[in-house]
This record gives sequence, C-alpha cells and structure tokens, in this order.
Amino acid sequence: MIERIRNNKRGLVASLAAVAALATTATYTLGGFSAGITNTSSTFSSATVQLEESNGTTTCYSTGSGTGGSVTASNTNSGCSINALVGTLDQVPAGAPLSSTLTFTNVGNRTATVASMVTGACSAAAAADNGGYTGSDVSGFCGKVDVTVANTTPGATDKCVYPTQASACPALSSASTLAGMAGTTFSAVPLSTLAAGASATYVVSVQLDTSATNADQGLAATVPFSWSISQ
Amino acid sequence: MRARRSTRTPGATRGLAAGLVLATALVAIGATAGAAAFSGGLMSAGTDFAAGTLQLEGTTGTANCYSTGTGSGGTVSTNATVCTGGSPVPSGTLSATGAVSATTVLRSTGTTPGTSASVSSATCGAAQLADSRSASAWSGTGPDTALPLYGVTYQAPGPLGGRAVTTDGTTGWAETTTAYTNPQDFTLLAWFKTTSATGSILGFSNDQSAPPSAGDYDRMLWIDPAGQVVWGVYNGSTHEATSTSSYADGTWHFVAASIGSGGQKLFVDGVQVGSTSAKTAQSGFTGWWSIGLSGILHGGWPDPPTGAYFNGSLAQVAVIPTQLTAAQVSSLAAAPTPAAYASAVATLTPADDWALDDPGTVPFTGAVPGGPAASLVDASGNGNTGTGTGGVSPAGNGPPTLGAGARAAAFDGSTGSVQTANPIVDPQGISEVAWFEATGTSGGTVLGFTDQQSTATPSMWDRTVWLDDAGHLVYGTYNGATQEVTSPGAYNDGRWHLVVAEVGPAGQQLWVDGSEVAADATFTTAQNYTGYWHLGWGVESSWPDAPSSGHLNGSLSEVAVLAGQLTAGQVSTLVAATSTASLASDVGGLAPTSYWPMQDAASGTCGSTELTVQQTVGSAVTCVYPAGPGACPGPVPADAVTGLGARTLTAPSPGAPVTVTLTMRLSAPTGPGLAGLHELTGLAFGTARSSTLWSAQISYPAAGVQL
Repeated sequence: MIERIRNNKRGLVASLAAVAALATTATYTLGGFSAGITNTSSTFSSATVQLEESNGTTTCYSTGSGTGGSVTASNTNSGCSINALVGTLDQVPAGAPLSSTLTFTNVGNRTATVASMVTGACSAAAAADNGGYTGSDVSGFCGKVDVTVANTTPGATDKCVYPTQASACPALSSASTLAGMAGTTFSAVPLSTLAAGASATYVVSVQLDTSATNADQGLAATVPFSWSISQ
Repeated sequence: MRARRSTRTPGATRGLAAGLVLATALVAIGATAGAAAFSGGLMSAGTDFAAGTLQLEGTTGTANCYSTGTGSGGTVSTNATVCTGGSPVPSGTLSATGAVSATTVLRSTGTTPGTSASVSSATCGAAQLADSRSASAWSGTGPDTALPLYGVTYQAPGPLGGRAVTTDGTTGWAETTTAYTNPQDFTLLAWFKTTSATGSILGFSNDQSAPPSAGDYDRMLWIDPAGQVVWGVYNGSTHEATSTSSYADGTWHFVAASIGSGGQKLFVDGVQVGSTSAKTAQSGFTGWWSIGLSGILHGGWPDPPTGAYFNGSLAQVAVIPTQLTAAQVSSLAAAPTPAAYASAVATLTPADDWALDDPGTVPFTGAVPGGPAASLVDASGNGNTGTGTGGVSPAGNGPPTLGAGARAAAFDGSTGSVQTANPIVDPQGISEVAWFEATGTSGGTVLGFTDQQSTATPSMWDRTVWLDDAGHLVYGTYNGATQEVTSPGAYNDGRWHLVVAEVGPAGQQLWVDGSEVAADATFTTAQNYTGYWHLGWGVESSWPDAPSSGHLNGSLSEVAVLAGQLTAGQVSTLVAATSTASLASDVGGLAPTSYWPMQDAASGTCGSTELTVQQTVGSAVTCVYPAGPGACPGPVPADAVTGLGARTLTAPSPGAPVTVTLTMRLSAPTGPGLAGLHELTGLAFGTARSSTLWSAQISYPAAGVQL
C-alpha cells in the first residue's frame, strides 16, 4: 500500500507554523494558575488516490504493492503484467471468443472523478511459439483481431466502452478490431469513476476474425493498455 | 449525460489550482483525460493476442514436403506447396499383372491441427512436351504436342544455359500428335549433346507410335557409328548428307538440316558440313515427326546408326517450313541466350517448335494416339461408366471457373452421345447437374433418360434437360402428361453455364448459374420406368418445346445425378466451386448416384489406371477409395484414378500422423498406345480448419508413373 498521508508544501508550512504558535503561547504565560492546551496532534493530511487492477489471479497497484510504500509523483505502475487480451496462444479463426475480466478499485481514500482507458499503438510480430512460421500479413494482423471492451460494473450507465458507447457491446466482428481501437483515449462515459473503495469491472473480449487467412498464422498482436483514475 | 460528466473535469482543475502534486500517470501515457490533482495509473505493455499455425508435412520415402517453409520455419502466405521431391505414387512401371504401392505419411506440424483433410486427383493425364506453335503447314492442325515415352527425363542442363530433355538410348523418345502430309521445302533445327556414336535426333514416318516399324520413313537426322551427323531423305533413292567430323563429344551442337530448291544441306554449329543435290523428300504419305527415334534401322540406308534411339540430351527442336539460307543458319547459331535463340526462331515462323524445356508436370489434354476410347468414369462409386459413341471427343479444358484442371467432352451436334452402363430404377426426387457450353440454333440435349441403353428409339423418355432452338433451357418430365419448365433466357452463347434440374416433392425446378430460372411446384413426379442416363443426347419427341436436334452442339463437364433435391444454398455452393477438387468434394457430399467429372474425357490414360487409397491412423485402417471399412481390396477397373476426385481423410494432428497408401495397377484392357507414357496422377493432400480460410496443401504435379 502506499503512504497514507501526503503533504503538499503549502500545507506543511501552515501546520508547522500553527504548532509553533501554540507552543510559543504556552511557554510565555505567567501566573499561579494557568491553563494551556498543547495540541501536539494537529496535522494537515492529504488524501490518497490509488488504483488497483486485478484479473482474479494477478493484482497490480498504481504504486506500491498493496502494503504501502512511497508514492512518487507519477503514481503510475507501467509494469503491470495483466494481459487484457488474454494472451492465450494459438488462436484460430472462428474459434471460441476469449475474454478477460478486469476489476479496478480505488484503494485510496479520495473519490476519483475522472477515469480513463488509453490504448497504445497495435503492433504485430511473430508469436512466441510459432515454431518459426510467421504469417506474411504482419501489417494487417491487428485488423484481424476482433475486440470489444464492456463496462460490467453494476449500475454503469452505458455498458460498452468499445467499439461504441451503447447499452451493450455488439458481437465480436471485423467492425471492431485492435487496429480500430489502438491509439485511442477513452475518458468519458461509460468508464466508471471510482469513489474511495469503489470498484469497477470491465470485460475485454477478443477473437481471431473469420477473415483471417493463412497469412495471419503465427502472429501476435500487442496493444498496451493504460488505465487511470484521478481526482 | 456525457456532457454533464465532462463538466466535472474542471473539478480536477481546481485540485490543480490548489497546488497539489500533479498526477503524471496520464501524462506518462499520453492521455488527454485532463489534468488532475491525484491520480493512479496502470499500464500493461505486454497485452497480446496470438494466432496459431496450420502446417502439413508429407513424407514420401525420405523426402519431406511442407505446406509452407522447409520444416524449420518460414513465412506463411498461401500455405500451399508444389512438392518437387518425393512421390506419393509407386515408382517404376505399372503393369496389369501386379499391383504396386507407395505410402505417404501426413503430419500436422503447426501448433493447430486441421479439422478436415483430403486426398485428391484434380488433373490426371500423360506428360507432354509442348509445341509453342499452331501451324497449318502441310495440312497440320493445331499444336503438335509431343508425348515423352519410357526413358525420357526433364529439365536437364541445356544449351546456352537453358534446359533440355534426356533420352536413355534404349527406350526413351517422344511421339508427336499432329499428322503432316508431304512436308517439303523445310529446315529442321535441333540442339544435341551426346557421347554415343549412335541414335536418331529426329525422324518422320507413317507410324505414329512405332517409327521403327514404319512402312514409310525418311527426313531423318542421326549419328552414325563414327559420330558424324547424317541427314537423310528419300525420293526414290536414299540421299545422305554427312558431316566429316564427329560430334559425339559430350558438348552441345546446333544442327540445321534442310531440303528444297537449294538442295539437301546439313549445317552443324552454323557451318555447312554436308550436302547433296536432292531437292525433295519422299512424297505420297502422311506422317508424324518423332523426337529421339526414327525408322532408320528399318533398312535401306547406307550409313545407319547402330541403335535407333538417341542417347544424350536434346533441346530446341523445330521445323521451319522454308529452306533457310546459310546466313540465317549462321545467325541462329550465334544466338547467345535461350531467349535470343527462341526469338530468332520465332521470326522464321516455325511449323513446330518444341523447346524441350518442359517441367514434366503438365498433362496432355488431347487424345492419346492409339489409346483406348474415352470412357467416362463414374466417380460416385456406382460404376455407371459412360461410353462415347459417334461425334464425341476430348474437348480439352472445361469451365474456366473450375481452374486449369477442368476437362470436358465435346459433342458434334449430330452424332455424338455418351451412353451409360447401369439401368436405373425409377429415379424420383433427384437433381441433375451439369456444366455445359453450347452454340447453334438446333437445340440439343444436356442430359437425357430413356428406357434404352443405346440411342435406339425408346418407349419411354423423360427427365431430360435440353436447349430448345432459341437456346432456352428446358427441363421435361412426364407423369401422364408432359411437364416442362423453361428458362426465359437463352444459353446457346458458347459460354459455360451450370444447370441444375430437379424434380421431386419440392416441384420441378430449373437453376442456371446459381439462380432459379423456372419452376412449377405442381410437377413432383416423373414417369415410373427403368432407364439409362444419356449425356449429350436425348429424346424430346412429343414435348411442346422440342428442339430440332437431340444431339448437343457443345461440351459437357462435371455431370452428376444426385439423390434428393438441392436447396438454393446447395446450388450456390456448387456454382461457387473454384476448382475441380472443390466441386468433387461438394458433389461427393450430396449423395451422387452417378458422377462423371470428365477427367478422362481428354485422355483415356488415367481411366486405365486402377487405384485404391487406404489410410492408417494408429491401428485403425480404412479404405478411402473405394470407400469401405478396413483394408482396401485389390484394385479393379471400376476404381480408376479419374474416379478419385476428392476423398476425405482423417485430419492429422500432433502425435497422430495419417499414413496414406496408394496402390495402383494398369487395367488389363489397356490399349497399346498407352505403353511408355508418363502418367501424371495430379495427387494432392490438404488439411483445413472448417469454416475458415486456413488451409494447408501439398501437391505432387510431377509425381508420375510410367505405363
């Protein structure tokens, strides 16, 4: 988990000044009776916004590892190993669609008011276990992987994030592929903003399109996924 | 609602104004969600999705062939390989006395096995040596394609860096297929290489298939026992122009031999080395050129070789229908490359031009000289063989939409027809399928059914598909009264069309090229009798729209009778087939009672080769062709190569290879004209993922067997 208290410079200066003033007053009071309060616990605390992602087996945090830690200015974990595209090798055209359920939780104590999902560029290369056989359609392979992203959080207003905002995502088809989704920022409805402690669930569904030819064999498509929330 | 959400973003801006630490997660990933006070971000860079691979390996003997790559990886594109090594068919010479076998082991070498597999023979025929010309000199017609026989090999190193054939000196030669009457005033051209002081380079005789037995033979080029080149003609007496030097030296030489008003002349390597005063060759007979063999040893020549067969390499053999000048011959000899030489020959308008650089993988589409009469094998397995009578002949290629492997039979419109072997008892609920092309205004029958096996006048006739005189397609049945459905459009346009005619519970329907063009739901039953199918001929007497002629003036390909009526989708599947193998697979799945692919219409060669195909998976043995449980029986005439079409195999999977055993035998009634031909069986294996575009194929177009 990350550090629970975070001062900004201005708050820190103010707190120290207050404590100093109180101490000064107590020290210089004269007389037989006196009453004074030393409020040694006066503090000013900043809130926290931390994002947790889990697919049921792996959990990632925007900072730290779930048991606190130092929050850097970026508060970003760029090394999350969760594979939203499932990552299962050896998919075939018209095979059973694959899906990955991702749960995001604001484990901080401050309500986030903005949520975003950003997809990087899609790239294709030889699959890890293709035995050296690589399809020639490297440039077109991203367009052969059908994908939808749905917000399945109870109460979410619109359910489909990609390809279109709608109450439900359409069936997987060549109308929504990794090529079409790549390089896009999704930052409005239907992404769920997260109150402190709240969770949102997304389901990423993928399949190899039926139009995939022999030239699409032995290839792997990679798309970086970035998720974030902010105050 | 989305707009309201957007208005909350300034709240984050307020946080920014408060001087709190900026969230940089969004910045780090290039997000534009808006600056915020606190933020948390996660990024998964290794998010990927991977496709599998489908590869097929075929092992024949010690040779492996892969549908893509070479067994150690490679780029997958078409995933179909033409195998150049190994052969799935038995090696050596086929005979009628004993069957021989060969095995091929199919393995799935990709990460993902196929869900189906097949073995097919889409194109079968005799190997050819192409003649690039189609001249009419000396009453010749069409390209004079040569057919290699016995000990001929292909793609040997040729002159000028080109290619050549080799002949073994004892059996190998090539017969030609176009007859010429009395060739005079011509020049023979050839490149040869030999170390043997014997053998014929080229000859002309009146025995197409056995020049050494010919009664008339001259116009011969040979190597005498001294290694000298001899050019011999006969015009009442023998005339030999002989070189003074030996050329049996293992290097390439260019020979030009001419006869004409300038006399009989012999040039080697561009220089005249011999001549006589003879100005004509033998007249009064029609004959054929023979490459690598002649009738020289039949007697009567002063300087014959010790053997009639050439032992060495031959290339670029041509016949120029004029007597070339010395300058022209010298110019030809100076050509630096095969292309330059071919170009120079082309300017001389040759009557024949056999480059002899053939790969040996292209089947001849014409009738094999002396071969058996074309019989149409029934690929349904029911043995309903068709036999052509009258003006029915090989027509070469079938509908282009089925690719280069499609074959056809042509009907002359007046005498040609094909009769079939089996009596069929009252076929009801049927679909009749045929690719046809027709011309003329006398109509003609695509497929007919009568109670006579021959063309004798029948007592009962119906279930007939014909073109009327205007070219409309008509489907007629009889059920106490004539029942006709007629297309509004005409199809006597010389183009290929797929007709499907159906009668049964769904009514009488007529489809052309995938579209229903006529139907009557009230016609559900045809006449009850036992009859025979007739191709290209039928009887339409007493029908309202009868044609002038019952004989088709056109061609047929891929004719079938199916049990049951086809749906629109099934008709669409048939018309969408882009190869003979694909159509054979489609037809095979539609319960054909008779199916004539016409692969043997062009050549009786493969119809005389019996075949069985057996697969072994683990301990399970199944006969694939002819289909049946357990091991295959011995091959029989009814199971010819031409009836194989496409047959289903078990798809190999990792750890579960499929061993395919092909057993072949020459049918006993094989005609003498087939002996020695190089039969190309056109075998291919494939595996695929059902309902996808993924497939893996290996084919063996060069895999042949000598008859």
